[in-house]
Amino acid sequence: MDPKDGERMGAAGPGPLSRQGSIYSLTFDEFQNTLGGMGGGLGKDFGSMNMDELLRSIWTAEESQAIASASASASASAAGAGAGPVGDGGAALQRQGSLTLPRTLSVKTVDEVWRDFAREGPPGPTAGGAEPQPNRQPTLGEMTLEEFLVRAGVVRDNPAAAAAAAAAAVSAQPVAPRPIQAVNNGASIFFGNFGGANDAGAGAMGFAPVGIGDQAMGNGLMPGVAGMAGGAVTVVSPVDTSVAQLDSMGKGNGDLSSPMAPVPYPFEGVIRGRRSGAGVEKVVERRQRRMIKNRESAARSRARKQAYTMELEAEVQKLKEQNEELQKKQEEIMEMQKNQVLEVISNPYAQKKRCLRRTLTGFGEPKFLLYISDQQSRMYQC
Amino acid sequence: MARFVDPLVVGRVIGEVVDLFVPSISMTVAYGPKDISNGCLLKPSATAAPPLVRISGRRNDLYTLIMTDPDAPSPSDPTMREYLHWIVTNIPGGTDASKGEEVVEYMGPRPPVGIHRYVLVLFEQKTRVHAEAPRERANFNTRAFAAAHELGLPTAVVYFNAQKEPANRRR
Repeated sequence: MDPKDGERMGAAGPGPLSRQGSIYSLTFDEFQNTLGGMGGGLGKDFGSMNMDELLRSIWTAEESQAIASASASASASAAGAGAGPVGDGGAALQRQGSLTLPRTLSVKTVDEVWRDFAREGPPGPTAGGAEPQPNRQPTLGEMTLEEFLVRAGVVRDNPAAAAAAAAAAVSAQPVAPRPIQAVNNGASIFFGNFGGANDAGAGAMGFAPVGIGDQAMGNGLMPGVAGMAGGAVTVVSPVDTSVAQLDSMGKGNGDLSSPMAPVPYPFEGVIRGRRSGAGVEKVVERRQRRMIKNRESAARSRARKQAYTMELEAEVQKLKEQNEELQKKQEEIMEMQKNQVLEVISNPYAQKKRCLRRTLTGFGEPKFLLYISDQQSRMYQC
Repeated sequence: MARFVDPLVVGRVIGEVVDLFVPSISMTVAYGPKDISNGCLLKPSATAAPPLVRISGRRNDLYTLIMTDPDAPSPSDPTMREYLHWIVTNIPGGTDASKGEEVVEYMGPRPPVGIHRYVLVLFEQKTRVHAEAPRERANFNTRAFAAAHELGLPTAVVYFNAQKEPANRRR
């Protein structure tokens, strides 16, 4: 991000959200046509979509655009109806401010939001570049995506406001899994944080760095990150989902260098481009810390389980061995007893002899008794 | 019979509380009728009274038993590591901990946050020891205590987990 862009952002205020080549300058009708043309088969009218779905479809469209612009830069301008100077790098991915979808908004359908607009009356001066003339926008189809998103409160041009909103959202619902926050153009702020988060994460657990993981996720959502240097989009979703994502994603770094993002990721440049937005930074940091803690706790839980399993396995092994030993011993004893009996049966002579010998060495009655008893027991032998 | 130390390594008892050692004495810890295995989860209410700790070893050897919680007050931020729960010294081999001298009175686990490990470490003494109770239970260090009393490496370690019980349990 060059500093000029930052200035533009700060000073322009209500300036246009979109750059040329951006789908944000399209109206809903045009956007739908574009999607149809791209074969993005939505199968659904925008009106019945909820805001989440709308954003997702916009991002999808953006992706395709980014891919197109990566392969042939001309196609970007073909897709975008707007005019103006080319922005920095991947214009298709550029957005300003921050996208924040509170829970209440994300589940509303586009139609509902549209109706809310109608009730509220003409748009304020912050509503994109268009002048507030309600009669000029009688239908949803004619409204640009940009304007719609701005009025719906999804997009804020001012990063400070976005930060405040984000902070509010976080403090209000610290663990709510739904709200999706996409911080765009504030990407550099994010990446600056990743350094710290990575340190903490790696130091604490030796896990794949948190920030990179998120980045990878962003890439997953938008495969054509050709304009990464210009302005990337990072989607930070709540801890649980992002952890799941990270697990499935594997190493974030690997993803970064994957063919999905052909342009190597200029990390230093991004850090250099660190901008104001301490609020966002704080929120992000807190989120990262929570994520790291959560991950640590998960690791502990796994270790606990594994340790207990090991202990039980060792116990089982020990008992098995003991059991085997005892069984062997028992067998030996049984064998010995059997042998004794067999010996007595098969070789009574030795027995007799022994008896006899004993009787011979003995005196008086016992000799006779022993001899008798022996004879009695083995009558047939005599 | 010597216990297997791998669960202690995985459970990070070896590393965070004691160093790697070779078990030479068998120690069984029983809360109530059942012996506990390393890493099992016990309810704090079941561990309020001191356990029966039986040890092997020769009658004229003396042993020291220490019980600590390395996860106080919270496993993710163990600022009080280790929290001392029990010290018994001069336990004759082949007997149980009740035959020794209780230096620090037994205190049952009361984990405020998270699942804590409670580690019982047995050391063989070279001679009879006259240990003084530490001033406070928090921030106790088993290794330092062992070093101060020339106890060397442990001869047996058993640990279990405990978690705060919900106030009103539905079941």
